[in-house]
Amino acid sequence: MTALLPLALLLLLAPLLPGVAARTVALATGRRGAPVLQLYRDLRRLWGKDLVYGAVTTGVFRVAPVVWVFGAVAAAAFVPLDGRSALARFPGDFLLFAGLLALGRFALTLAALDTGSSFEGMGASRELLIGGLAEPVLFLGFLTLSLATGGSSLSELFGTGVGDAWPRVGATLVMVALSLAMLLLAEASRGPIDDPATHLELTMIHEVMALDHSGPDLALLLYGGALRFALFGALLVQLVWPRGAMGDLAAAGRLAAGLVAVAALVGAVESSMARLRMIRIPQYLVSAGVLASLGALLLLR
Amino acid sequence: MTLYGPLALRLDPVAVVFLAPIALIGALALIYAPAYSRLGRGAPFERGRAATLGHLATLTLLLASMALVVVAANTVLLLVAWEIMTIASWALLTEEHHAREVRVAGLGYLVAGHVSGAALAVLFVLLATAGGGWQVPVAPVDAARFGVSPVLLFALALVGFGTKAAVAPLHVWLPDAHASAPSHVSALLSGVLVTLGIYGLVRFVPFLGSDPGDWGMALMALGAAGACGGIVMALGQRDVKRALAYSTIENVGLIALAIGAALVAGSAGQPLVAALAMSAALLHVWNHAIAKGLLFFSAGAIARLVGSRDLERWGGLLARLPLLGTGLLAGAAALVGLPGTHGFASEWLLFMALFRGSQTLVGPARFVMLLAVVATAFTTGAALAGFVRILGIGLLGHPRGPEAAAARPPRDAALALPVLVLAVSCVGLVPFLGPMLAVIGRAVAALTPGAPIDRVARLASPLPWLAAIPALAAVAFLLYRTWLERGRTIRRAVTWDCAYARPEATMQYTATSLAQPVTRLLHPALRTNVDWRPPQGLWPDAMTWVSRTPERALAEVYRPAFRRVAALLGFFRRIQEGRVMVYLRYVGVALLILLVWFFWPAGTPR
Amino acid sequence: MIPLSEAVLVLVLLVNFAVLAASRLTFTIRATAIQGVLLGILPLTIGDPWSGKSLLLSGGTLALKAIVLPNVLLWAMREAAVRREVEPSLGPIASVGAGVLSVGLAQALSRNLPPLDAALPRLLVTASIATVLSGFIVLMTRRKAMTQVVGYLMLENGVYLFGLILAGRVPLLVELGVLLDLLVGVFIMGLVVFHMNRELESLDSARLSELRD
Repeated sequence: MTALLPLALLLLLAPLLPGVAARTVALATGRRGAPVLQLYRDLRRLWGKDLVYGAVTTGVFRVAPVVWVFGAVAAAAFVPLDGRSALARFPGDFLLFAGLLALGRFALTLAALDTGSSFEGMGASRELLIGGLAEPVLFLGFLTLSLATGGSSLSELFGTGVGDAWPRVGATLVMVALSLAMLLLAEASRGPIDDPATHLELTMIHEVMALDHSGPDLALLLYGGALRFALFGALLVQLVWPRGAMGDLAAAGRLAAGLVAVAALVGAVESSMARLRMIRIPQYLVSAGVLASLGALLLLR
Repeated sequence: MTLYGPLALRLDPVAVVFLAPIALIGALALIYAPAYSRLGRGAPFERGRAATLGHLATLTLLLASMALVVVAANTVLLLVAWEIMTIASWALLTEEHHAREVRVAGLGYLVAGHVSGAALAVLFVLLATAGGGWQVPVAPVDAARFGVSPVLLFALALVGFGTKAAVAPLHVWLPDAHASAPSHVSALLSGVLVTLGIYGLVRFVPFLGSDPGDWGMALMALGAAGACGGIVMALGQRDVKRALAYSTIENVGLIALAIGAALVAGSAGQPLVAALAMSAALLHVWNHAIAKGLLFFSAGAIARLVGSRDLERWGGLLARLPLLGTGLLAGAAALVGLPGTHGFASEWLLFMALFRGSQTLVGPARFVMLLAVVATAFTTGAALAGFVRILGIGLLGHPRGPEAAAARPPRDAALALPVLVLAVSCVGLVPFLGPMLAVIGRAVAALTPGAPIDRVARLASPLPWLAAIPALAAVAFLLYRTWLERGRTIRRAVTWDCAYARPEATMQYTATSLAQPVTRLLHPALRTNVDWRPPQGLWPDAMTWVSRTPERALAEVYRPAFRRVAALLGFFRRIQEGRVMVYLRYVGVALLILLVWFFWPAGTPR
Repeated sequence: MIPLSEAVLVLVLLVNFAVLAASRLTFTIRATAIQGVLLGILPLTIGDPWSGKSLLLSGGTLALKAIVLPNVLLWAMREAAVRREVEPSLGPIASVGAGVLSVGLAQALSRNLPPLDAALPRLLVTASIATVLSGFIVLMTRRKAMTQVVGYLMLENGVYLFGLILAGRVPLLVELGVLLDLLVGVFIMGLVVFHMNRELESLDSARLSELRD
């Protein structure tokens, strides 16, 4: 039961994060910006709308939004959101976590190609490049953490073990946290990798794959994206702000505050950095992998 | 006492593991073969009744020889079966020999088969002289005591079995052969025959004397190279069956890596890691057989119906050929290892082995495990991209040619049945992973002494529950659909294309452009050469853009090497001239040499 | 949490990677300046921070490596009007990969060395070897003479780190001598760069081969 509360919190809080990030960007650039709760309103509005499907689309296009959200929700069940243990756990569940995220990406890119649109093909192509490189980085992060904590499930890698590991292997954990933060920007399609606010199809990555989705389907796509943001944010919060001796409610509050702080940080990064050229994206992800592997190398002695 | 020992057969747990795919894919191929030859407009090799029977007989001979390879307990018997297998598969592969590319591929296959057979013959003779007898070994031979170098034995086993298994860099024959064979033959070659090379490796490599850990490292390095290289090459192919063939190289690489990890961990005294890795290797043999069989069965039929294996001529086929398209989709999902398919299980086992190995091993072995995690993770990520490319470009979007637009589903249950059976088992086998692992566990126990099989089974016990993932997703989708269709108008409209009202097939992203970010990134390794004639002048008339990703190992290593060898052998051709006078001269010279050899006054009289 | 000296050394390692990945010359020079600052802080975090020797070493390092040398290089860059490295023979991703391997190698090597004083951070040897190797990577694969000077500086920083192991035993004079040596070396290289640009109108060191007669 105690594990359900933070999960519900994460699912409810997810649409807040893009709002917080956007608001931070607006404030940093001297604008007032959209309300923080804008995504909630968008989702409600889209949820009541009619649907339009592209002429050539097949069942893949209809299934994909559900799989996209389903993968993220199922992955959330394995993250120790309360700081101790996840709703479900078993040795090696981090592989399932990565697999479920890959499942979502598989569905989303196939749906993009299903429309037969050149722009969505472009988005799929870029998403596949980013995903293909993000996967080893994620695994390197997990590997380094498993070396640091000796654990083999997400609940051990990001649960109570982290708090004990900080005094011993702090330098390594800093590296992993940095690598995970870089990965978050890529996986959640935020700047400097992607620009969620762009209006030019040629420069979009994630947004362009949603061009043909409408109504509730689009709502699912947006929500799933926000949930991925929240998932990686939650991993980051667990890593840098271990629960320690907090009570259940305090731990849940810690999660919420941490997520908002992560979103604000993402906004700060977005407003202070120019977007990377496409050629630089592999370099960026390789750098994230280098950080994680440096963390692992520091442990080998 | 016969000359080479009794020609015994042996049906042990290891043999059972490798017999299962032969039986399954073999039976389905026999069902599929006659229907496949009737398929498509102007079926290029429609046969008479006698020819069909001959084809089926050869197919049966191939299946029998493969089964014999697995159960043979005597190396001579194994070698005989191995050669029959090579010849029978070659005959099947060159079925469509009116096409030049098929003949070239067949020649390459035959050369590779001979190299493999020759290496095995030498290996078996050396093993016999090293005290192993003519039995397929069950205990390590003490090769060094008999003056036989273990390195030589390993090299021979690697060439002999590794060539069949297409372990990099011995893979060059495979893409041509598997692409140009009839599709059920491709399914058998890729899904089953290749794994017999793996069979040989797991049967022989642990027992070649000296420390198997060293061989393990070598296998891991070769496996990682094959896995990464194979999947990246697959991304550059337009020919669907060629891309699938490269994916076979990738998967064999992963299996070789897993076997290597098992050997490394076993010799370092980590039986749990070794057992996990060996289970991963054997389970992946099954998974790959099912998924690759399914992919070749469905992709082959589609290629026949569309009249081309070129991805850029497919498109829009999931709507037109729902069953075959779904088969391709399911096989790809399983091979990528998405959770909810059986493919995830072997991937999970492999990663668990590598992670545990990184935690518990020390020294270079640990470093190798770390690198293997990165290589394997890269492979799975790239495999996702590779199969999204095949599915998205090949099955979805607008039809990219008139043939694809006109494709109609075949009314032939014999085609549908194999696809259906394998597609269902991609998801349906997940709840039965426990019993499957129990069968594999017995083989693992035979191959890695002291393997804690029960601990592997306990670790893997959550895996069958992952069958809930597709089930829950399906329920969620159905609920969502019923809710969606209540009181809501659902329209169809033209694809939104930046306010351009007539999106066409030619405007879609192509297979080449989809893979372009990756091929550009890996250009130093891939050397994709682009032949671009840009538009010129004010009124440009024509422009071309052609890109090809060549097989570098073939073009830069094997061809030059073969050319050298050919030049060397040209000398001998000059000796063999065909005139009797010349031969008499040779005899004369030989006589002279022998006379001098024997009667030359030497220190000691002979 | 973590000892300050270890944190500084980790940052030194990260600066190596920044230089390996970068293509803009100003950035690499600034990065070496930051590395200089870190190296300046380092003597204060090891052993007794307020001994005269530590202070002198730290002050000298800061003045030279963090202020004087980077500014000399920036000046030379402005004079020569070079902006960025063109086509390094090893791309940024490959360079960074080589950097990771060099850290792995450094870790492996440092395990085989006799153990250090308990007071010294465990990372010191690793950081020093890895910095030397990274400097070599830059020296071997970059074409512009200016980047090669940066590589030389990194190499020198690695040697300096190794020197810190012996700081307790070696007379101060030797330390300062080394620093002075470095200063002279970089000045000479700066002048060479400056004149090379004037004579050849290019800073591609590959073109130096044209100078033979």
